[in-house]
Amino acid sequence: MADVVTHLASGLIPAALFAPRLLGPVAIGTVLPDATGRVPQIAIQLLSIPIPDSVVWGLDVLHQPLPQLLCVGLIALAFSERDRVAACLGMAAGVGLHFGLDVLQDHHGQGYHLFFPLSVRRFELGWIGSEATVAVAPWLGVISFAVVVWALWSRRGR
Amino acid sequence: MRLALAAGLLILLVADGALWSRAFSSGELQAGRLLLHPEQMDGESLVLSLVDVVELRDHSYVVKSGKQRFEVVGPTAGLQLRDEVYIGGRFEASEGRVHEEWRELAPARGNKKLLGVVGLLAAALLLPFVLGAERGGLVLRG
Repeated sequence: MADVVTHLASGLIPAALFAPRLLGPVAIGTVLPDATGRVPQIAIQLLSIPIPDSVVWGLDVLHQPLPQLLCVGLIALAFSERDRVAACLGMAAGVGLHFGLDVLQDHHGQGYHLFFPLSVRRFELGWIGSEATVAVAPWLGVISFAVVVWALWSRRGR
Repeated sequence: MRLALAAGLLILLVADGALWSRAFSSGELQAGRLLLHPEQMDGESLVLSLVDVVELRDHSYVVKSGKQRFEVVGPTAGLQLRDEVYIGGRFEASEGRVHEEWRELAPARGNKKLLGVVGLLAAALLLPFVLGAERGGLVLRG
């Protein structure tokens, strides 16, 4: 996976420029696969919570497109009926950006199960190293902050 | 209606998780095979992805992935404890060892984890500015 700041920036920058109303859903979508599929695993390992490895590794399923779309559907239900479709589309776009960025990376063939449960094959393009985004992440963070502040400021003026 | 939809989506999510568990425990997924059926992995090529170096020996070293530890037969020059590495090699089931064919250090891993925390915090801080709450649920601001 690319780092979370880069994931967030990949959604926030275009959303702030072209669809500022969707900033929230896009932000949620870009971090959702890691927040649900990676953070619990890391927390379990860091805190040494006594859970079998098979269960911990089983959480990998949440870092896949199909379960993410189901999660998006679930979260969209928390939105009012008026905004539900827009929120759902924004989050789905964010999730799409997340996986689009992830498959660019090279994990030596240990890519992503994009089509599970239809296939257990892993996919990755291997165009960039798995830590390649770390160097640009701070800059992307600064740019994202600037465009988001600009978008929120512009909204106040309307 | 909302409750029925939520229940339906949850059932699909659990069903997908069950299929994943089955693929894992049956050994269809290599990670599951390595963890639960190592005897089926004898001689098989594998990649240990982002494992921690936890012990250095003369001609081998030990890495940890989750609670699982593997001895890796290979040179230890240039390795330090707590390094995170990718290792490619062949699995020897009788000894539960991996014979290293190549390895690659992932030195930026610590910074990546830090960026993970920063990114999640930034997303959480942003949400109150772009989402609101009404009786019917969350609303998009702007």
